[in-house]
Amino acid sequence: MVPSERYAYTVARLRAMENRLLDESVLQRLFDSEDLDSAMKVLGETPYSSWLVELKSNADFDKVLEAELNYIYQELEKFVPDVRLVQIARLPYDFHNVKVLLKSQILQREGGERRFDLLTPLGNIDTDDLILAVESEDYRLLPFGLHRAVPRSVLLFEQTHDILEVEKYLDSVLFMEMTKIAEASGVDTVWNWLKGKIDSENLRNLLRLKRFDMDPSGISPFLHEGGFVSTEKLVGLIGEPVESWSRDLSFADIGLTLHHLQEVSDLGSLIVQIEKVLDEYISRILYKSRYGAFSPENVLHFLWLKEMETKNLRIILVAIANHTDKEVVRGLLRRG
Amino acid sequence: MARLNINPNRMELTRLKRRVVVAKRGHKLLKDKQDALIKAFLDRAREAKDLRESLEEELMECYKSFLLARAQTLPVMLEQALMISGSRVNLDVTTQNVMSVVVPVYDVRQEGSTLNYGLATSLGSLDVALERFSEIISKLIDLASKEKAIKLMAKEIEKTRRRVNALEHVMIPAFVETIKYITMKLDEQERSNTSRLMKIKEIVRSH
Repeated sequence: MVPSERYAYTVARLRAMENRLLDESVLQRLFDSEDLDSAMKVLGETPYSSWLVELKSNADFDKVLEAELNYIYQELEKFVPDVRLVQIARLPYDFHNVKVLLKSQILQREGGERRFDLLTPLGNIDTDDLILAVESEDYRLLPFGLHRAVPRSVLLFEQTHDILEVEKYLDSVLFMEMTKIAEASGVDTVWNWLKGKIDSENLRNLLRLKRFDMDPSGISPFLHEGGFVSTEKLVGLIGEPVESWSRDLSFADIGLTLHHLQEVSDLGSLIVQIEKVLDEYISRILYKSRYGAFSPENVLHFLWLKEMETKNLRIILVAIANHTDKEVVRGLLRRG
Repeated sequence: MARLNINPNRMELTRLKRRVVVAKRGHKLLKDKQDALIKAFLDRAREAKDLRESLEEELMECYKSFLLARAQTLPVMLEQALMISGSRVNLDVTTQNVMSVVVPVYDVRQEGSTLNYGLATSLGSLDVALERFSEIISKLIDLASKEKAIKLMAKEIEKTRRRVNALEHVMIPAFVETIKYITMKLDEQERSNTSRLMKIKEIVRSH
């Protein structure tokens, strides 16, 4: 564990970087933009302007958001004493890249084409290195348990010919690796953040599976160990009506976040709304770290704020580009 | 009206009279077919219009829910989730004869689940969108079948209308005109024969 004194500079710099985060007024101006061109002009007055020059068309705004997020990750890796705090936030992108490469291999075998264009630079592992490792089947140097997980996934697909099995396996490895990193960091808030993240992921999955009318016996592989709420307790909820979940989980913090969802009767709308509620639940866990001048968890808090900022920007820009009813989209915006 | 270019004799007259009867019967049958086709066409067109309108509304809802998924995640992550489909659609095509128009009838069967992606790297809104798209597929194919039938029927109506018009305005009038012409010719021949006979009789009597 890195001594907390070493975080004085990091936290001070993060505070300075927080000032560059977009405030409500900028988001409101973006929201009020009539078309994508005027929205991009507003975005040009923000730190995102550095990436706008590389843009060929305004419709490619996702590249700007990705470039800014990637810059933030790389910048933080330079000065954060414990780089694992950044790695844990980037890990889901690594697993996304692995899934792209595995699926590309399967598609290629069936006469399709490889989709390297779906790789994202947001992961910890350089995409070229990852391609080389997977294509040459030389997995030895892959970090984060991928040296075992990738060949196992290939084998699993060959045995089952079911990509969902591979996905379930990789998702479980992702959370196991995140748990290992959180354990190694030795920071309580990182642990709590991860537990909250696992809980919200489990709850979200449970709701999605309930909507799919999945048999209770098939639910466990979709749930991850290590949250505040045990997976056994969550599996028991599948038979209960969704309205009572809040009461059944009232012993845990996550249960309290669900109380206002009791009013929603349609499971489809509930799923859309719960994404936002659970993101805000994670935001609340990390918010406590704001008050510690030497708290390592400030790193995670800042990264989470940045992720939420890009998510909000994407929601607004997609809505403007597709002329969607803005009031519907406003309900999806996350509060930091 | 142009008459047919044929020899004006009794044999042709008889043949033409027979053809007129057949043409008139064919005209009546084709006219009945045309009316029945138009009736069936209008029924199907109304049905297809209602179906199209309701489907357009449903499609809008589908795209809206897909947009919610698109707005909340990286587009590459969304595409990654959809790279390999777990659902298979089988389409059987049979045909049905409607007033001598062979229209296709599609039978759609979906197998498997839309859930074929990891839940950790995808959003719940995607489930909702995919389920809606999956539900709408059979309706879309039903609409395609109905619209194809309408197109084929419209073509057949056009063809039948041309035939009816050709019989009504070209063939039957031409036959009638020709019959009239042959009758006149034959009458004229008859008169000429009579006058010739009278003349001969007169010459014979004067001797």
